[in-house]
Amino acid sequence: MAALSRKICFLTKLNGHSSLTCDRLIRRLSSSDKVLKERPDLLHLFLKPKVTAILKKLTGKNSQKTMEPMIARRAVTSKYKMLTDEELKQEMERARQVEKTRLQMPPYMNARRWNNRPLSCDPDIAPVLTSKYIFVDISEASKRIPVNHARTVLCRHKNGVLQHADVETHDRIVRTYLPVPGQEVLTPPLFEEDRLKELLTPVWYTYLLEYACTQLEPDNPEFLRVTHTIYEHIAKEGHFHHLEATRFFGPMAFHLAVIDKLESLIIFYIESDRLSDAKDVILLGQIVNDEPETEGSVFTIVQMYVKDQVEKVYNTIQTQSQQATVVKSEKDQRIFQEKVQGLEKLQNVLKTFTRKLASTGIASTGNTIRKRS
Amino acid sequence: MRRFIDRSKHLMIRLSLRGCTNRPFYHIVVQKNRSPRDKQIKDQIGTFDPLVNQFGERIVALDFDKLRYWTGMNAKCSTPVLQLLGLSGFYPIHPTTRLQAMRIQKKGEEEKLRKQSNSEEKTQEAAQEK
Repeated sequence: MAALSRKICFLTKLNGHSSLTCDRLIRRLSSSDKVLKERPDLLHLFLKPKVTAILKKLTGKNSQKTMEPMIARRAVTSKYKMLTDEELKQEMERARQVEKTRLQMPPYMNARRWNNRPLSCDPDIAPVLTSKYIFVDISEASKRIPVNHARTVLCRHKNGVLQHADVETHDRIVRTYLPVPGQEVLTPPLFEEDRLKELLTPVWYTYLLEYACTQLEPDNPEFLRVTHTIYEHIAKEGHFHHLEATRFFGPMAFHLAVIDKLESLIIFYIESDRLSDAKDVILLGQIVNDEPETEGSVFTIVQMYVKDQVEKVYNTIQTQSQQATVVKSEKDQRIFQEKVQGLEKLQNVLKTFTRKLASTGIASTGNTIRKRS
Repeated sequence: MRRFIDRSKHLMIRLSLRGCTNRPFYHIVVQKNRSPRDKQIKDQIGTFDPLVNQFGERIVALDFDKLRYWTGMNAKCSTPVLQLLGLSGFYPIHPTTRLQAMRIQKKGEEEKLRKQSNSEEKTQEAAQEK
């Protein structure tokens, strides 16, 4: 996880300079397939300077929260020193660097695809193979093996077929032979669905996310499941302020933009009178879903967005009612219902906000943005 | 004048038995061919766990860079190591593995024939008694 994060950070720096090498590297890391049902370009989008800037802005800056030491180490970490002005400046600079590393966002990637093409089929030797044989390459990290993803882990099955090990086995074997402090070989049961549900309270959000980051790789299907569950739960409950000023706010906002559930986040910002942040969220959604970016003042952008979304929903309902034969799966219907409810709530919130504005006549929220040329 | 003369001719890549009672564990090591199994090791290039783990796997860890280096320095692999490398796909399947497979299959077929003839005898006896 750390090595991959470093690689991603290196790529973000590259992004400004040489986009071709950057693209190639990202494509290699994303291991995209020729025909993918999901979006293959998510990591590329996540690393775009525009998107990163928006996410950083939304994360905000609360040094007290970011730099808070772990509960167990609070008694030990307080140190008192006598410093000159220059030394104080150096210490502040060091603290700023630490804050910067603590706010590095874990990359938002698609699930790693398992290359299950058999490398060799030898059914003749099957009688000898009384169990699976796993072969790991424990060579030093080099150009051939830049990250642990690239390590060869092969599996000789009992029927004589030689294949790459699937993602879970691959990660488990790498954790066995290349241990990282804080990582267990076997994933703890707290990430199982039932137990995770019980733990989804505001106290445990950052703990669970940090644990997932230490334990699992960012493109491990388990990691994606765990983090997506936590992000969606936070969106449902509206507990966004717990993740603010942590490194997980960016991926959360990005995730909500990808699954098109930004309503609760916008409601959160409107209710706390932060319209410019709401506008940023809308912009993020438009970049992610490849829609044209609206221009104008902050308030008009928000209004137009809500109007567009409601129009879209009406259109789909109309087309649905016309094509009575189209059968949607239960899951799709449920998602659609949730979207409709979210939009209704957003409309109501916006109405109350406009009423408040009109009655009190506050001009602070009219943060006009210069029109993009 | 040295009392012990080293009569080794070449380097070997072979399994060195570690672990404890009822728990074997092999290191894949590079040694001179006349050295004792567990001593005078030049380099360790991997491990092999012969016991099956909770996921039904036997794990072989190999440092392929070092393996390539020592093979380049003209080290010979022992048969078990060659068998493992054959299973891993680094080398072709070793003839010993194929022989073992043939023997096991032959034995299995003989067992099956014997069982079949036994069951036939039993049914014949049962029919005779009736």
